[in-house]
Amino acid sequence: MENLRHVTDAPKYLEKVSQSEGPVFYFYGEIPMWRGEPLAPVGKLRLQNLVALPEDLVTLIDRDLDKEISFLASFGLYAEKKISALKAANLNGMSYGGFLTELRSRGLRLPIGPESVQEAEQEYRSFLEEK
Amino acid sequence: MIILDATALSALLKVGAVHILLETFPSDSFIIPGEVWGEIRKTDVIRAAVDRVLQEHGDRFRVLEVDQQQAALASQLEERLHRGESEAIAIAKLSGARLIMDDLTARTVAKQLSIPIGGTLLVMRLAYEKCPIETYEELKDLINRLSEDLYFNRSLEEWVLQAEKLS
Repeated sequence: MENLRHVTDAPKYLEKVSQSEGPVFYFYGEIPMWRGEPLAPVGKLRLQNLVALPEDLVTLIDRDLDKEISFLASFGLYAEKKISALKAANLNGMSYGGFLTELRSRGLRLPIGPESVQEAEQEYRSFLEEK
Repeated sequence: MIILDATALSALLKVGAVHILLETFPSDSFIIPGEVWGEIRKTDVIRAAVDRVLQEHGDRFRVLEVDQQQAALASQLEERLHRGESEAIAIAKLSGARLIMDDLTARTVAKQLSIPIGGTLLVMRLAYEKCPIETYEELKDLINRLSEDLYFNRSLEEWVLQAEKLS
């Protein structure tokens, strides 16, 4: 999806993509909008694909907004042990090596296991016992 | 037999430490699941390294395509994992092999299936104890290089660096 950097860009953006990609919603303040018109009632909207960010934050993100949100969300899922790092990489269309490079560009590293000395000791013993 | 996952294998290849595996586990062969091999070859520097390893040590390293039973188990794990990790876990589970894997999520899944598991840090510690890594300085250098891309806390780093040579 094309980057939507500002709420004020939304009407132009919607005109361009709404025909080919289906309805696109955005928030103007607290009011859900579609094609520049307020939508109601809110309870009937399908908003699961909408990401609402403070405009001040959006202007500070110096990267492709869609890719940035996708990357950080998938890294968050990895940190929560909900998906693996390779899965996260592939969800972003990246190789594992590319994913590590992207992390490094943000000053981040990939957390790996074991996560404690106790866990490491247990693995050490069981790994040798199984030999 | 030891199964290698992409995270650990990539890390070892990147720091040029695959020979350490061979020397630390001299009686073992190493299996690289087909999907793991395919994934790590997407990165140029790793592709060259893994191809060289397979060429030079083809008697110890083998790329394995999963059989029907392994594929079926792998498919059950794919919601949270990449196909390569799923295959690594499935092969280890169904063959009774040990697994070297660093990924937090994949390790959790492997442990739920009672697979004996170790990671790159375990390999480093054992390699120092058994002498493929000869000096403390070499061990420390490898740990520093691993930590360029990977995060492990200070106490785990110390756990590795406190290893003592076995007589």
